[in-house]
Parts: sequence; structure tokens; C-alpha cells
Amino acid sequence: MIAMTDADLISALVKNDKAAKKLFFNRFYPSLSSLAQRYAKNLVQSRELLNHCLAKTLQHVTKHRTESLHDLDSFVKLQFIKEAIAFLKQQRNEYYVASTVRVTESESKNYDLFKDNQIIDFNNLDVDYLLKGLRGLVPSQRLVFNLHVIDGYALHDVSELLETSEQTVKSNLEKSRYNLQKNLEAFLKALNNEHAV
Amino acid sequence: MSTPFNYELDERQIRQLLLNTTFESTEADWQAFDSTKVELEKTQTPTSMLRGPSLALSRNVVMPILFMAGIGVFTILLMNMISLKPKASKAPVERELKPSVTETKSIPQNLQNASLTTNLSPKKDSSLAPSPSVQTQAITAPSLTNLPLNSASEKATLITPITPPTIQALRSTTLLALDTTSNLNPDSSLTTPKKKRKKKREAEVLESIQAPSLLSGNDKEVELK
Repeated sequence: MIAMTDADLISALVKNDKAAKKLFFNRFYPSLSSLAQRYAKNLVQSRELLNHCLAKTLQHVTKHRTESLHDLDSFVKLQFIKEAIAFLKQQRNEYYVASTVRVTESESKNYDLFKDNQIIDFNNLDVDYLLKGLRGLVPSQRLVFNLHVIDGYALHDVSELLETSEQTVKSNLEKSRYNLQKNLEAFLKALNNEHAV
Repeated sequence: MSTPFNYELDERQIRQLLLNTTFESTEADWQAFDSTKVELEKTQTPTSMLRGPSLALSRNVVMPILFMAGIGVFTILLMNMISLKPKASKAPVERELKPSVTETKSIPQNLQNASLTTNLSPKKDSSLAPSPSVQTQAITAPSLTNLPLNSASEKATLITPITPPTIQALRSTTLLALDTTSNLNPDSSLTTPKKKRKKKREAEVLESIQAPSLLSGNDKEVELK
């Protein structure tokens, strides 16, 4: 792989160099693909989101001036997150559902952990279960949890990114925490049952 | 009965776990991205030419602006309804009647005629009115020495001098005579304007003639009753 500075990469992207585009793709795909999987509801949507938002981000980079970009990584990540939010908001029937609705594949709604006297250890969580638990959240709650807890944005910044009030963000964050834990409990219970059998 | 909720997830651990997760790209992923990029560029090329500068306007910016605009419009409406200044009266202003250019041109000719007529010296027609000099001659008292006077009353009548009222009367008669002569002129009646200023004419001042006193120094003047 050819080593290029950020300025050289941007100037090559402005000139519509295909090799530079591939270099850009290979550089940012690993981190952004995991981000897309966290933000999307399933794998299909994550691929669509990744390709769409990465292409949009590339356009932003080419439009941007080279001198003002001090940190290309953070710029690309921020632009990708903005595009991801816009992408998810475009699907209105999914995004603007009632926040009380929990998206879960399990038919049982009983999450009483002490019913079966099961103790679930949340310290040894697998990435796949975590991603599953996140995908089970409502889009608004999933976005808030990703932005605040994982990507580290403050609640005020999250409210600006989502164009909602800070109180709504707080409310969604609490619901997302509750629902995520319940989703993880359900997955882990199912896993324990499988091991027991 | 539901149990109280205890949040047991370690968010720091979740964060580290998810951020460290990476997925390597494959050639199929690049092909999929390239096709998506090309489609996106095709769809956005015509609209990008028309699109102006994109303004990042959030709801926090737009809503206050809308409210301010609404308040401004409402204020303007109220100010229009309630006017503090008294409105100027809309009564039609009477236009000053000024003579037109054609009228002003015609008027000097008339005025010239009028001036001509007014400058005309009054004709002294002896048939219409007697001249003041003639009357003064007529008034002059005859010499009383030639007249036979029998009584004191006859003397008294003869002695009475010409008083100023008689002179005034004569003066008025002469003026009337002059007016009649001017009115007789046909041109002056037609050309003179309605409002005609009469020039002050100085009447001839006639010297009063004192009759010689017929009484001697001893005789007393008879009082008229």
C-alpha cells in the first residue's frame, strides 16, 4: 500500500483518482463498517448504510479544502455519523415509531431474572450478542446509545445531531439502557438454556 | 409483580469491545461501494448544479426566526390599525383660479383701451353741463349801486355772500357732467373691466368772491331768522 499523507490523499481525491478512492476505502472501511453495524437494524441495512454514507463522506472530503482538515479521521467519522443519522431518519416508518415499543424477536415478554433463579454475568459479553442487543433497539434509542455511550458524544451534542431536545435524548437513553439489558438477558438466558440442554 | 430494575451493564467495557471491533474489507465490498458511489454521483449530478449553498439550519434556529417574523408582522398590523399621528384632512383643496395665458394676453389690450378711455379728458360740452367758469360768472353779484333798494330786507338778501355749499354743489354738477360725457363714449363701456377703479380727479378750486360790503360802519347786520 502506498503511504500518503492526508493532504496528498485529499488532493488526489479531488482530482478523482480511482487509486486514491480505493485507498480511502481500505483505510476507513474497518472502523466504519463496525459503526454501520451498530447503527443499523440488521446486516443488510448495515451494508447499504455503509456504502451510501461512505460515498457521501467521500464527496464531503473532496469538497472540503485541504488546509482546513487537521484530522481527517475525526472529520470522516463525524461526517459518516451525520450521514448515518440522515439515512436512518429517511426511513420514517421505522424511525418515528413509539419509543415504548421494544423491537425484540423473542415471543416471551417475561424478563424476570429471578423466576428461573438464573444469574447472568454481563462481564463476559460477546460482540455478536452486543450487536444483536443493539439491533433490537428502536432506531431513536439505538442512535442515542451509540452516540452517547459508545462514540462518546455529550448529551447536548447528541441532541444537536438528532435535532431533538436534550430531555428527549435523556429519556431515550434511559429506555435504551433498560431495553438493551433486557435484550442481552434474553439472549444470555437462551444461551444458558442451550448449554444446560 | 415486577422486580425493580438494576442496571448491570458495564458501559465502559461495552464501549471498548465495540470500538475495537473491526471488519476487514474485501474486493466484493469495494465493488459494491464503487457501484453505489457511481449511482450516487449519477443521481446527484443534475441536482448538484441547481443546488445552492447548503445552510445548516436546525429547528433551534428556524423556529425563533419564524416567531420573530410573526411578531413583527403582528406589530406592523397593529401599528397600521392604530395610528398615533392625526391624519391630514382629505378635503379637496380648492385650486387657485389663475388666469390662463390667453386671458392674460387679452387683458392688456382691454386695459390699454380702458387706460385710453380713462385718459381721455372730459369734454366740456356747454349743452350738457355748464362750465364752472360760466356759473361763477352767473353767480357774481351785480353792482348794488345801480339797483334801487327800497327796504332793508331787500338789502339783506343782496348782501348775503356766496357760501361754500353752493361751491360744492357746483363742483358736483361739473363732475356729473364729466361722468355723463365719459359714459357716452361707446368704446369705453365695452372694453372697460367690471371693476373699474376711478381715478381721483382734482376738481377745480374756485376762488370765493367776496362781495363788497354795502353797509356803513354804523349799520348793524340784520340777523336772519
